Amino acid sequence: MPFFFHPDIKDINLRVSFLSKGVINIYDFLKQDSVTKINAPDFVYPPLTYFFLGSYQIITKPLLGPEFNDWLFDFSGKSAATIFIFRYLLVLKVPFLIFELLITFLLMKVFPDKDQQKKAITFWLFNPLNLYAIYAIGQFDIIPSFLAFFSWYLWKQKRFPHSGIVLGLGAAFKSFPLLLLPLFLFSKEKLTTKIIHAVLAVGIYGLSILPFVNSPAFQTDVLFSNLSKRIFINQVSLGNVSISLFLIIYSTLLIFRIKYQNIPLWSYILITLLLVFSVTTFHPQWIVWLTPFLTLAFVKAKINLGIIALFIGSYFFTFLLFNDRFLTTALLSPISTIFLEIPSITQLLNTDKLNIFKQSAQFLFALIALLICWKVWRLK
Amino acid sequence: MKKYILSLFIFIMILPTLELLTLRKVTGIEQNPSGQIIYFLKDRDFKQQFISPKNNLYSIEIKLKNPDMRNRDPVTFSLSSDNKTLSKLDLNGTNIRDGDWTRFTFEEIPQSENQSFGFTLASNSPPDKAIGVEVNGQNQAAFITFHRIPSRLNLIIDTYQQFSNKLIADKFFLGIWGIFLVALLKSPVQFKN
Repeated sequence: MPFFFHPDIKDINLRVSFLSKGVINIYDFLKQDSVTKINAPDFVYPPLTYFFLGSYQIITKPLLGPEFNDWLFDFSGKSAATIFIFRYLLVLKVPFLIFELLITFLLMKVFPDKDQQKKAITFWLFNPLNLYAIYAIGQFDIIPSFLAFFSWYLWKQKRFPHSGIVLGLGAAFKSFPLLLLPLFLFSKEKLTTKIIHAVLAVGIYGLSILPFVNSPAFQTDVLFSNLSKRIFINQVSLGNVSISLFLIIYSTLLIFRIKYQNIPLWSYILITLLLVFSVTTFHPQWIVWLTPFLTLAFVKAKINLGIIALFIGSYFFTFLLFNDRFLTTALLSPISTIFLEIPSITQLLNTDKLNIFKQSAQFLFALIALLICWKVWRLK
Repeated sequence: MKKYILSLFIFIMILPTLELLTLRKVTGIEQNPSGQIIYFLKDRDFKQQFISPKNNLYSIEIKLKNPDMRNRDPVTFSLSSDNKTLSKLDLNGTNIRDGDWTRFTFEEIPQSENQSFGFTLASNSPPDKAIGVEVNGQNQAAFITFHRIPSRLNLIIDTYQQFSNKLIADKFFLGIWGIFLVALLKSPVQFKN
């Protein structure tokens, strides 16, 4: 945990550190401040992320120490060289462990049988996807992932209003839980129940962004950012009209959701998220969105270890070919800056070969994701 | 549960060794450009002096400009020390990509640490086809020196030594990490019906 460093954890913490200096509207502030305008031009996450992580930083200030702020403003490229790097990484990643353990607790509730429990928890805690995305890269996607999973769990327990609130909270960290809302809406529950659920989910999310909605910086960096539009970028031409490939597939899935109510909600959630990864160039940390549901599929024997291994292998193959050393060789730079000198595979391959490998990797990953969708769908 | 945690821990401890086994060279000087360019042409060579920070100097990369790849003339790179030419390399402008790092590799100089060297770039090109060297604010070339690793075993040992020194340097971290590991190994997760 404290031995792996990706600059994203420092970049995000630089931005949320302004909460301790009294900055409320981080979006407008980053566009105005002369230092951060160059080195930290935007904050692309919803406001709750800023307040949550910023508050955590304030609480843990005594542990982080007086040099922490200087470290945040170290743009030399060798910030992992500081002797306090292990401390910073441990303290900053502890919340992720807490949320991972909360999902562990939920899995124990979902699987009362001891053998299934053991299988679920072992897979959940020790699968390479989680270890890499949560603790090596150190992004906070485990938080909205927990909230999305908790929302599903509450729905399963028929605590529908609570499920809506929690889903809205998840969207207030990262907007992907909103993609799952139609899957709840098209279930066989009573109409009023579903409407209350949706209103609460959208309402909580709306309340969290309301104070910033009129900010142009918030609109460009969060609401209408390239990141939030990414899943809709791949388009299909139908005559003179171009439609997002994801929208076409997702709409089809929603029709199936209405027709095949005997397929559990978690299966549809997993299929939706797998489809997102199949049609998008995704960030490696996003994989955590689906790993709780992948755990369910694994334990309920919808997919075996062989397919899981293929999925994991194709995921890592994709990221070996990213032009970011910190996804691979440079992750160990806290141990020694010598690891910054190890070239990544992209630096060793020539451009033509690299493009072929990249496309092949993405194609392979999408294929295996679709295979899992098929397996999960097939066993009604 | 404990065996998984221990296996993971052992893997993390071994991972640096596995990565270091792939390393063939290390950098010495790394000087970055700041947007300015100095062109070298007929009767106007580009010269740069430097002191090698490490032994086993064997290669230098220089950030060069060849706008529109228009230069196709011979270019000469010479490395010297104490007014003695150590190496001379001829290449063609077509091998020099615009705005890219061009590597010049020569016979390894084992005792290069703290020695003074100079490299010269020369060409007979006219001004409209000259190749440029990207420089920093002090008109020093953007260049990187590369040094072979004399002993991979020593490198691995040195790296783990650095690692343990760094761990010990922050005693506060060592304390909380120790408590954290003990708490983890006591495994709060119990499987029960």
